[in-house]
Amino acid sequence: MVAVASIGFGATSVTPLLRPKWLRSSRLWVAFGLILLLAAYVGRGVLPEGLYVWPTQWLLPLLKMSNDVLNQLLRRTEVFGEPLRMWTRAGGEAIGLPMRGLQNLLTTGWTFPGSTPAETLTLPPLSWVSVVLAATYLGWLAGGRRLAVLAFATFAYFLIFDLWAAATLTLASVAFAIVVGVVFGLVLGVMLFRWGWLEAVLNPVFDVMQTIPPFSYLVPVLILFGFGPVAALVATLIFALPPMARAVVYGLRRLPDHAFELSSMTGASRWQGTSKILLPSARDDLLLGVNQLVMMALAMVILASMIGAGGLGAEVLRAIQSLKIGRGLEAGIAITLLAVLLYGYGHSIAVRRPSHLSRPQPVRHLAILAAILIIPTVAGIAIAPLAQYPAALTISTADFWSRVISWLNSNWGDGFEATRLIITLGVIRPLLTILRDLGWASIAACILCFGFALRRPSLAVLSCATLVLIAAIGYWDKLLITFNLVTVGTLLSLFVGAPLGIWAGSSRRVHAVSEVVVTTLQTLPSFVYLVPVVMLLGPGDATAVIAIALYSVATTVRYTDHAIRNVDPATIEAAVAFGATPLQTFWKVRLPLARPGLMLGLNQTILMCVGMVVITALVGSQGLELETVDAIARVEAGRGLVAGLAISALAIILDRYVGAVAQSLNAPGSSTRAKSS
Amino acid sequence: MAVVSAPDADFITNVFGTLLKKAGYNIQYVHTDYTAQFTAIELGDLEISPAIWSSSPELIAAALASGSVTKVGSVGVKIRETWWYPNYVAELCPGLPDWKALKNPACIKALSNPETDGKINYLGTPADFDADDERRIAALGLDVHITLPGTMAAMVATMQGAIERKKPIIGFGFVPHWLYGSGVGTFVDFPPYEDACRSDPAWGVNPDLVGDCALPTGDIIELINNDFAKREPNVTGLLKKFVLTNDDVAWGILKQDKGGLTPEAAAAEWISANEKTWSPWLQ
Repeated sequence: MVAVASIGFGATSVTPLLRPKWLRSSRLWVAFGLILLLAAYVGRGVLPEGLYVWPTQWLLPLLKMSNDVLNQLLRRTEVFGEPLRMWTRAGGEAIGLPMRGLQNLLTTGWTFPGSTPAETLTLPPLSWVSVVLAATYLGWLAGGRRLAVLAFATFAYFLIFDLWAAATLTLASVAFAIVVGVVFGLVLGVMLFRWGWLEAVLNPVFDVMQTIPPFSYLVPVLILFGFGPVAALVATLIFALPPMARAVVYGLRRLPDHAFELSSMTGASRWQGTSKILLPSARDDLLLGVNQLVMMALAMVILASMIGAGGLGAEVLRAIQSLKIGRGLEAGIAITLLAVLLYGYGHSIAVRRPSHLSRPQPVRHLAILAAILIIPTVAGIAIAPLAQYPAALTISTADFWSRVISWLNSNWGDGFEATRLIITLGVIRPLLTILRDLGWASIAACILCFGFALRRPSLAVLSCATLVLIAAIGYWDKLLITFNLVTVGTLLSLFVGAPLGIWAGSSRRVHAVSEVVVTTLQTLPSFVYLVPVVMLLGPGDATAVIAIALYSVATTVRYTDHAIRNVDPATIEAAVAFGATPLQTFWKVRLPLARPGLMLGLNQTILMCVGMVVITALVGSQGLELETVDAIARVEAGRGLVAGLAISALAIILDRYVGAVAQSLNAPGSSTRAKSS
Repeated sequence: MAVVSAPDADFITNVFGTLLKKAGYNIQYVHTDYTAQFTAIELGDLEISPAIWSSSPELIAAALASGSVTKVGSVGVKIRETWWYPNYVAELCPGLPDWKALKNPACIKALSNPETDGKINYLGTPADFDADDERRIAALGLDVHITLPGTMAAMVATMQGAIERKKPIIGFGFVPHWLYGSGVGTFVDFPPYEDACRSDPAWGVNPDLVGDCALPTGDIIELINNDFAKREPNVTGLLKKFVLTNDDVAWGILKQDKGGLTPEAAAAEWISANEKTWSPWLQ
């Protein structure tokens, strides 16, 4: 099933040679940074207030400027006498053509408008019988019985819960987005691998693409690509492409030398060498990328429906906005099933080994498929139930779920209220007050010191400068609010997720259960559980933190589980042989050996929290994430983009620092090397 | 045409869409975000939007200022938007719906919670609403802390969650809407709106501040893309004649909320039941 959740930003390592002398004493720098923080905290009221809150008269008018620039670029720029958007739209339409075909085939059918309704010609889409059978047959061909059963169950679910039209529409657009993503990802990845200099350019771009909240580029994408599935495709690719491209580079880099030798020895051309030898050899890492692509493409389904893609995302939105929580959950689970199924197909196709015993029979398979597709569809013209699944055979569990929420609310409402108060008054607010009392100056300076302590001078200077810039455009306080939510969310997620992950890592049965839960949590649109949480807890920071933790805990569990599981069993056996008690084995052997994997998990958890923080604006959090949403509502695309970039900067700084700490922890001294797959 | 996943707007859109179909046009409904539809109609990706709330003035102004969108008229449905409370709150705050009841210390205490420093916890609006709450609170001297809900879905969910538990709550509400129009609650009566209330501090209860009044009653207005209007002048004509009443929309919402119908089905039912109303529009 779905393997590892996400991969890191491929932290750039600095050559360990030739460091200036003043960088060597890490402890001194850490101490210096901490002293700065303490001094600032104690000195509030004595030190100039400008060091805490950026003085209003010095604010840079960057926000207004960015609005104007973006407006000019998007609305008035002309290329060869045509507005820029005409070109991008034409390009988008061309790329999206196959997707529209797929949608027509599966869901909408074709309509050729004539001048009168009588002249209008309509062709029906494929019959549901055809689609179910074909999906099952393809599943069987690609992955045997297991995948066939999964495919059948998934499509049966769409039918039974009356989600057929929405689900097939989403299937068409997501499947197409994944194919385009794989192609682009492979091309980009190979290019990055062949030309190392390209990485210096594209790496930061990828980082931003992966971390910038989709809300903030919604308006530009809408203007450039029009409204509808193509815009949704573009937005999806912006978000989902980097992990794929990175997985390709990572996989190619890890290949042993003999793969390249084979490539040149057999006299393969460059194209042959890459496509026949190198890429297949890097299969496992590529699969990780495809897994990411599937997950992220489906994560964008809700947002895509906001800009005209329709499908399951629209179904979720419609249900949740009128508080039909059960219906939202049904549609949300359909998205999860789709994710699992699509990954199943991709996985089976990729790991299938060509067999020399039984020759494939493409003609026969194609004939069977054609029969499956054509016969029920044509028959459907005469027999209505074949064209349209009978509504009488659908069911709904919606009422049940609504009642569950109501019951929880009326019986445990006071408990939820108390929880909220503890989280808000006991944790979130005090932490925020402390952060505010530290002020921008001391935090930026401290980041600089810590960067030096980690022996990454360029990272230190860049991060510090970014923070000062954020303060200078007036976003410091909002940044603190966002950071605070991320911190508390991460802590909550670790608190719950780490023990669960350790448990899952040491028991097969628990592992099997946790895999299902984790996959569901990660692919279920957060909107589905966000609104019930609001009903129980009310809007605000506590809800935001819980929503963040709910989403990121999946990552924590998965990585902890993975790290604990992958400790060399021989070492554990040796420890036991030396008479270590189970507790000793765990604390003294297993945990230290799993440390690199655990650090990677921490890093990923933080990134997931930052990724989720944007969504919390929908339930009333008030940091940078609110800016991105608010800016759209006030038609200030530039401001939204800048706020998005600030969130992205926060994510990247956190990622790099945690990554650097992890690296310095397993630098010389420890023999285990981090393997991040 | 845009469908925005809200029962009220989608009902209006579907009724108008069905009428256009009867007039021989091909209609395509596009699922969109309420806010995103403004950009879309400006660029011609959407051609008509017959269900725009006048309470998002900045979005409307920006769309009109672009020069490619025209306001055709209003649907005839009046919007009421102001503070709203479930009926059981009236027992805690005797004197409601008059706003002065919110100054009663017992009422303030009942509606506050530990997060709000003893002030009334008022559930505000999403970012794109122009509710003018801060000025109203200041001008009327109310002891109120605004909690922002983030989105309309969250705002309604919070209200519904509180109602299920009979928890004291007060928040923003508007009709037509499936919850706020359902009779389980009542609107607060603030001094009625006049233009002078926002421009002249001397007006109203507070002689020193502006904003000491309710919101103006709004309309649901119709926007059309100019290029499209030029191509199909008849559509503008139909749009001008197209009028629904508050009761029509309330009926449509009820059909969806309690009857479990889709907006399309509710619209179809309305169309077949009200032939007398709409058949003159098509001539």
